[in-house]
Amino acid sequence: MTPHQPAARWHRGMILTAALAMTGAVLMAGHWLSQRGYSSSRSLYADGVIRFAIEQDPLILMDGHHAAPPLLHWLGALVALAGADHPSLWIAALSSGGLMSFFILFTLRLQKRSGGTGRACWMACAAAPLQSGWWAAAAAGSPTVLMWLTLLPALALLARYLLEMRVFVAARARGQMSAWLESDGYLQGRLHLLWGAALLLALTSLAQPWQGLLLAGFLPLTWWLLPPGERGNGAKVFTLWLLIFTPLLATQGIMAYLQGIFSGDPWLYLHHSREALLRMAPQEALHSTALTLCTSPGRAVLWLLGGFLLATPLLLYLLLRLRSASVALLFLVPWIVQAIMFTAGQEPPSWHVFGLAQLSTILCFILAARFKCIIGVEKAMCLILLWVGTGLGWLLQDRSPLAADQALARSWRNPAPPPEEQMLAHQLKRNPEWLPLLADQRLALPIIGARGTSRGIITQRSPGYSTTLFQSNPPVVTIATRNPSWPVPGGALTDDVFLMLTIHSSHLKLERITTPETSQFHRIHTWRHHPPPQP
Amino acid sequence: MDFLEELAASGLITFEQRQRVEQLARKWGLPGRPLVRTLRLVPRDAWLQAYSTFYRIPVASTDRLAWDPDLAARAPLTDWAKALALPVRDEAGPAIAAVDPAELPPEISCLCPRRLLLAEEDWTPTLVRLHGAEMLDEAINGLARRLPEVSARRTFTRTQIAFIWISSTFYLLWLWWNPVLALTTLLAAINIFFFICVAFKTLLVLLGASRQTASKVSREEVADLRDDELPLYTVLVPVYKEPAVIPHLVRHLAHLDYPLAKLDVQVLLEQDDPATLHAFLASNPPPNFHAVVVPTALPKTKPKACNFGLQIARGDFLTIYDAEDLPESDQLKKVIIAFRKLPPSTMCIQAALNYFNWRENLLTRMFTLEYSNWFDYNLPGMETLGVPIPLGGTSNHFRCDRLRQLCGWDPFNVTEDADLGIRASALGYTVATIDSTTYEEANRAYGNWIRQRSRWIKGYLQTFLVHMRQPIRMIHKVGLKAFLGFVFFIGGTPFIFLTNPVLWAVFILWLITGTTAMSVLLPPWLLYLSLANLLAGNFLAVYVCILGVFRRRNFPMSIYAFVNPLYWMMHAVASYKGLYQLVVKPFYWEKTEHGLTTVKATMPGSPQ
Repeated sequence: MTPHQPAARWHRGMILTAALAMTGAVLMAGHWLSQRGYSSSRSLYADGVIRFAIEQDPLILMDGHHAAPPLLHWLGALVALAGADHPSLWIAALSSGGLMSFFILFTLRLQKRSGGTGRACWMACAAAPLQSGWWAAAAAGSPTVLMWLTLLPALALLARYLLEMRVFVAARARGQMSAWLESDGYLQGRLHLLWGAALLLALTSLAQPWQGLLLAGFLPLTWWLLPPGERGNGAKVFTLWLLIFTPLLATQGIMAYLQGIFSGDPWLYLHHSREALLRMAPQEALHSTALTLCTSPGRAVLWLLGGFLLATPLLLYLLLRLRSASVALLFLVPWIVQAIMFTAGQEPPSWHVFGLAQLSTILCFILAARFKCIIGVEKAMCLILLWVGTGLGWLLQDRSPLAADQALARSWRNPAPPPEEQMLAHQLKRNPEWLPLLADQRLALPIIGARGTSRGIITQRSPGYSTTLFQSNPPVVTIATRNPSWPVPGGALTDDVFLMLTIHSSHLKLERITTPETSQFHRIHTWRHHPPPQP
Repeated sequence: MDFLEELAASGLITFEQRQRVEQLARKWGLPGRPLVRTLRLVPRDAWLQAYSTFYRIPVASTDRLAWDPDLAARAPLTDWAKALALPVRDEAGPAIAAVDPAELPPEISCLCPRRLLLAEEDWTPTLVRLHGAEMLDEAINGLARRLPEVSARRTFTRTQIAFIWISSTFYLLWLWWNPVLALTTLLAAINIFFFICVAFKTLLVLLGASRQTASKVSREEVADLRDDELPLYTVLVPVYKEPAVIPHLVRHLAHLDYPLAKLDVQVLLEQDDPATLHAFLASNPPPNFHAVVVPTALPKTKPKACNFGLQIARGDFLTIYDAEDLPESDQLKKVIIAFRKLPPSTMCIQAALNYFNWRENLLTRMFTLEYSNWFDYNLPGMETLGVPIPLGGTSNHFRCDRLRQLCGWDPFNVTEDADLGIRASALGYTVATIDSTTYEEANRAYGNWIRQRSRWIKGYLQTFLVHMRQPIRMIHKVGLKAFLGFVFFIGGTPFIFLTNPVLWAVFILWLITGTTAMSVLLPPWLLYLSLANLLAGNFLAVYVCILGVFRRRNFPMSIYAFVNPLYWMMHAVASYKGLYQLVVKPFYWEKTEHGLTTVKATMPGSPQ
C-alpha cells in the first residue's frame, strides 16, 4: 500500500458524504416546502411532462412543446422509472449533491497542486451551495439547479486549463520547466479538461435552451485568458474555440433538428420557453427580470452591484491582492452571463444578487490557481471573508428592495398561494368522480405534476384523443381549457370543445363549477352529460 | 601488427581513417576491423584480398558452394545469421563461410575448423540461393504449422460457416414468420452495436488525451544513453516496385541517430522486381544494408517477406519501416530506453505514424487527421485501458526473441500487424506506444487510397474472424475487458464503415420521401437510439477528429474535421470492396503505390 492510498480513501469518503448530505438536505427541504403548499410552477410542469411521457406518450420528450429543459426531462424520466415521486425535486437534489462533490473534488485537486495552501479555496467552493439563491432554487425543485450543475464545472475546467496554460507559458519563459514539459506535452495531456468543459457547456444548453447565448460572452473571454504569446496564433485560437464550443453548437443544432422533424418548427423550444416565462404563475413572475427592472432600472443595477460586492467580499479581496488585469477581467463573467440572460428574457430567478454571487464562485476557482501567494494569517482572513459574505447574502435577501429578492425571501417565510393547476389537482384528488378530465395539453401538464399521475386525464396528445372527443357518448366528466387571461392564446382544445358541443348539443350540457370572483381557474368548466333521450 | 595497422601500412586506409575507426570502435564498443567496411573505407575486392592475405583464409567462390545440412543442423539459423556465417560445402568438404571468419562466436567456430571468407554484400544472396526454399517454406507455413488455430490461411472455419449458415437460415425463417419483429431486432442489434462502438472510440480518445505519452522517454535520457550500451538493431524494409524511393530510403536509414555498425538493415525485395534491386545496389549502401531477395511464391504479401527476413535477423530488437518512411532520428534510442523502463512483458513498442505531405490535397489532410487521431489518441487510450493494441503497419519495434516466439507475422493476413498485436496479447505480452513519430507519404490519389483502405478493412475482418474462432478461449486468455476491446475496436471498425452507408441511406430516403414505412419498425426506444446514433454518433466522430490536431500543432487542419462525412463515404466504398475480396480473394495484397507525392520528403519538425 502506498502512502497516498489512505488520503485517497479519505477524499473519496469525504466527497461521497458531502454529496449524500447535500442531496438529503435538499430533498428534505423540498419535501417540507411541498407539504406547506410551496411548489414552483416550473417543477410541477416538468414533473407533468415526465409523468405524461412515461404513462402516455414518450415522444413528448422530443417535441419541444414545453418550456422545461430537455435534460431535466430525460434525466427525470430515468428517476421516475426508478420510482421517485417528484422527479424534478430528485434531479435538483441529486444535482446539488453532484455539484457539491465536484466542488470538493476540484478543490482537493487545487489544494494538492497549491502545496496545501488551498484550504481557503476549498472552503470557498464548498460554501457555494450554501448561498441562499442556490438553496431556494434547489429546494423548490427548480431546473435551474441542473444548469448550475453543468455550467459551474464547465467554467471551472475551462478556467483551470487556460490558467494552467498561462502558468506553464510563464514558467517556460523563466526556464523553470523540465525538458519534456517544454514540448507542450504538459498541456496537451490536459486536453481532457477542455473536453469536459465542452461537454458540460453542451449539457448546459440542454438544461436551459437559451444558454447557447453564453457562447457570445465566452468567445472573447477565452481569447483573453490565453497567454499573450498564444493569442496571435489564429489557427490555434480557432481550434481551441472549435474544441470548446462545437458540442454546444451541435447540441443546439440537434435540438433544432429534432424540433423540426417532430413539430415542423426548428426553433419551437426557444419560442415556447419564452412563452412559458410570460404565462408563469404570478408569484414566480415577480422574479422576472423584465417585471422588476422596468420599474427602476438604475436603482436595481446599483443595488445589484453593491449587493454583489457585499455578498462576495472574498472575491473583491483576492482581486485587489492579486492585482492582475486579466484576472480582474474575470470579474465580468457573472455580469456577462446575467446580461445575456436578461437580454434573452430568461431564467428570472437567477437575476438577483444571489445569482451573481453563485456565479462568482467560479472566480474563486480561477483565483485559487494563484493561492500560493496567500499564506499564514491571510488564509484565516480569507475564510472569515467567505463566511461573512455568505451570511451577508442571507441578510441581503431579506432587506433587498428588488421585487425579485423580496419574493424569494417571502417564499421562504410564507408558503406561496398554490397556482390554479395545483388547486385543480387537489380538487381531482378529493373528487375522483370528476374524472376522466379532458384538459388542454399545456394546462394538463402542471396538473399531472401536482397529482403525480396522468391516469384519467386526456389531452390532445393522449392516445385515442379524437375518438374520445367525437364519439356519440364521450366518456369525459370534466373539461379544462386554458385561462383566457394568459397572454398566450388558447390551443386547439377550445375549438375542439366548441365543435364537440355543437355536434352533441342535443344531449350535452355544460356547467361551470366555480365562479370567476372566487377562483383563479375561472375558465374551468364542468361538463356533465345526461343519458341520451329515450325514443 | 593488427589488421588495421596492416591496412594502413598497405595504404588502403589513411592514418586519419585508422584513428577514426579506432575512435568509433571504442565509442560503439565494437571491434575496429568490420567498421572499415561498414564505413566504406576500403572497396570490396581490396578488402577481401587484404583480409585473405592477412589471416590466410581463402575467399569463397560463392558459385561453387552448396548448403551443408549436417553442419547447418548443429546450430539454429539465427546463430549462423548473427555470426554472418553460412554452413557450406564445396569440393574440399564442409566449411564455415563467414564475413569475419577470424572472429567467429564460439558456438559457431567450434562446429567446423575450415573457414572461407565472404564479402558482407554476398552473404545474403548466397544464403538465399543455397537455403532460400526452406526459408520461404518457413515464412509461408511456419505459423500455420505450429499454431493453425490463429492462422488466417483458412478465412472461415467449418464451425464459422455452419454458424453463419444456421443463423442466416433461422433469421430468414423468422423474417418470413414475423417480418416486423425480425427487422426491428436486426435494426436494434445494429444500432446497439454501433452506439457501443462509437462510445468506446470516444472513450479511447478521451483516455488518450488525458495521458501524457511525452513523459515516457525524455530528451535527457536519450542524451545520456551511451553508444557502447546499444544492442544490434534489425531494420526490415519490405519494398516492391519502388525503385524511385530507394535512394531516399538508404540516405534516411544511414542518418538515423544510432551507431551505423549496430544496424542490421534488411531491404526485403521480391524476385520479380529487379528494378528495385538495381536501384538499391546503385545507391551504394553500406555493406550492413542487405538486399534480401525473397523468392517468388504465393501469397505475395508483406508479412511473408518480413517472416523471411526475421529468420536471419541479427538484432536483439527489430523494427519495420516502409520505403518512404522518415523516422525521427532518435527513434531507435527512445525505444531502447522505453524497453528498459517498461515491464518485461512489453514485446512491442509502437511509434506514431504521421504524414509529411499533409498539405497536398483534401485527401492527404483527411488521412493525416485520421492518423493523428489514431496514433496520438486511440492507441495511447487503448494502452491506458489495457486492451490489445492493433499495431500500425510500420515503426513497430519488437523484442526479436518474443517475435520469434509468436512465429512472426501471419503471411495470409493482409493486416498482419493488427493480428500480431492481438496474438501478443493472448500470450500475456503487452504493446506500448511512444512519443516518436515516423513520417510517411499520405495517399494523394483516391483510387490508390481505396485500394489501400480496402486491404486494411479486409485485414481487420480476417483478424476478427481468426480470433473469434474460439471466443470463450480468447476471453480466458486475454480477459473480458481486452476481449470486449477487441470486439468493439477490431470488429467495430469495419462494422461502422459497412453499416454507416445503410443507415445514412435509410435516413436520406426518409428525408426525401417522408415515408412512414419505417415507423412500424422503430419503437420509441429504438427511434431514440437511432437518432442518438445518427446525430450524436456522427457528431462525436467528427468532434474527436478536431482533437487530432493538438499534439502536432497542425491547427489549420482542424476545420477539415467537418469534411469527415465525405471521408466516411470513401470508407464505405473501401469496406464493401474489402468485404467482397474477403470472400473471393482473401490473401490478395492490394499494393499501395508510393512515390506519388509531389512534396519533398522532409521531416516537418519534431512533434510537440
